[in-house]
Amino acid sequence: MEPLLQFWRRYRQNRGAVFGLAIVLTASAMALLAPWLFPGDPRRIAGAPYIAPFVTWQFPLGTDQLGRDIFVQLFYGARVSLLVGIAASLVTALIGCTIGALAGFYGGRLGALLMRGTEMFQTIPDIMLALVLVTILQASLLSVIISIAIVSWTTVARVTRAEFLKFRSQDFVLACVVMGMPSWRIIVSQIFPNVLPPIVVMTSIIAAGAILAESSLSFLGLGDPNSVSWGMMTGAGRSVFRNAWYVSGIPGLAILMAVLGINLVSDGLNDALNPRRRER
Amino acid sequence: MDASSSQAVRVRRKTTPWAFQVAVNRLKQAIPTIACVLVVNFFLVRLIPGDPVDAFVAKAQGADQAFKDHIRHEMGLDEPIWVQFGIYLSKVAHLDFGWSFQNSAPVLDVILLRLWPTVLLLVFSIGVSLLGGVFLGVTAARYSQTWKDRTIAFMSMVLYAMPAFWIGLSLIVVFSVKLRLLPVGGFDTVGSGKTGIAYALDVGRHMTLPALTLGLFYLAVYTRLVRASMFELLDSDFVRTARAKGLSERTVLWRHMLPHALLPLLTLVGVQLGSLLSGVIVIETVFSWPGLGRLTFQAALQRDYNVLLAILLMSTVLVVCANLIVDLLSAWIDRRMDVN
Repeated sequence: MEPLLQFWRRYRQNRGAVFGLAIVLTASAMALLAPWLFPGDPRRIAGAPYIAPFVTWQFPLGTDQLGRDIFVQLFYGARVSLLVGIAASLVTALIGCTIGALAGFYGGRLGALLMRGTEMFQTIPDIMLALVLVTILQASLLSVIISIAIVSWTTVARVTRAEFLKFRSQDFVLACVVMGMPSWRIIVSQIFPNVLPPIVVMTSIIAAGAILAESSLSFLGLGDPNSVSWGMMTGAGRSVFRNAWYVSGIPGLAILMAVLGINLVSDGLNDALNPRRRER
Repeated sequence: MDASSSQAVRVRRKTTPWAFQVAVNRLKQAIPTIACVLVVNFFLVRLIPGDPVDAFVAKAQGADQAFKDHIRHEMGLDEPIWVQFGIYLSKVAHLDFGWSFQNSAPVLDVILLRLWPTVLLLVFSIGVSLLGGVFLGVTAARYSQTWKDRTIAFMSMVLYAMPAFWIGLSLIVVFSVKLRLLPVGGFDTVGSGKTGIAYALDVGRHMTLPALTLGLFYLAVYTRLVRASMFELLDSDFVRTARAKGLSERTVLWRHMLPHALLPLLTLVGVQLGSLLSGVIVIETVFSWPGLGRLTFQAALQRDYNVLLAILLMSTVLVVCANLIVDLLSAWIDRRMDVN
């Protein structure tokens, strides 16, 4: 409990990060409470089309061109965006950490080969590849998550490798080698806990990027057609934005806030996890 | 470039021209990359469900089986996949990327037609974001911990979180729909019959919003990076020395500190070129800009395999070439700093 409290004390010194946490918690609450607050299909036609926001209490944020409630869709959209953000960043971290750890720990030919592969992936334009992958795997949430992970693991791999290289030749690692500890245990139980802070920060940044990437794909009409997402709402409102900016403006604002919130949180995590760096 | 290879460049530079050495190093990396991309691209795109014959026929309001088989044979789709791959490789070697059925033209022609609007857009937006990013980053460092610095930091944070298509839509609403200053989309005014400078200005007017949209996101990225690297340098010895010599703050910032901050910036530009090209897909779609991005999107939707393959390859080659330029630039800056 005590270390957690200490962590919180360091974290809350960054006021932006506290604000970011508030945004992230609000979005999470929206995502969790959506089916309970608004049961039924969020995409059903609820009223007249093109009701502007802040006009009637029945539709606080108005309705889109088909008369669907924007407020309700916003709640359901939070589910998709956050799910994609969390799932994609976890898969990304898993791929990136494995490759980075192997490359950093073993080095030599294996390391060179893995890093060459990483560079190759960095060269291929990411959303372009994700677009092809989503088209191949058929549009579904799972394929969006996998595609985003496949195009974004490279940064995690590079960071992990650099950190592993730093620790590889330190005395406590060499001591473990001398003791005859198997390599996988050294990697997992000795080095990994030490390199966790930058990976946590990196993963949270990836989560923000994943939400942006999902919104781009959905905006282009390549997301999961069966679920409401913020990017999809923005894309659907695109054809009418000259007369009704709010149909795509409001979900776009939601994306902006969520991504901003996560970025602020990752800044705060960075400060709280590396207390020495902040004092500079 | 990692530490060891830049070391190698530094040692060898004395005997061979450094630019040549940098180019050779980059090409050694580039060739296997391009080879892998060829293989991966080919097999990935073939895994897409549905085939181009059906898409083509659907566009032509349906056709009988014999006609379909004829097209399938003409496209080589009835051969085993490795034969198709062999045909593909030998054709690529001859710069023949096949026929685009959606555009009824050779793929190379389709792409070359769309290439230059994209390159134009990229060059302008990178230019805007680099100049703006350096200026804002240095300003933030100069006025560190004052309201100017905080405003710049906050603005770049917000810009960094904005979805590109949303920036684009907002700019259109403000500048095209409300203020009627700039066109909504497209490359030029259709049927205006303008030539020369008038035409260039017309294209420029059409390009302003898409270039700004693409540039704003990277402006935020570059500002953050320059600001961070300048902050790291603020307490270093050579800066203290320069100040102790009585140099003006401006000289210290621009002549002494900035070159050091430029190296990580250039590296980042090189790393991000791929994602910059990706950003083009969304922005060209929003602004109906007739470039590679919009072509990619259309090709994916229409299952135009040949076009998709060629674009993926072309954009990878584009990134490799741009990376070479970045490498040369950073080696040049590196040398200048060594001399100092």
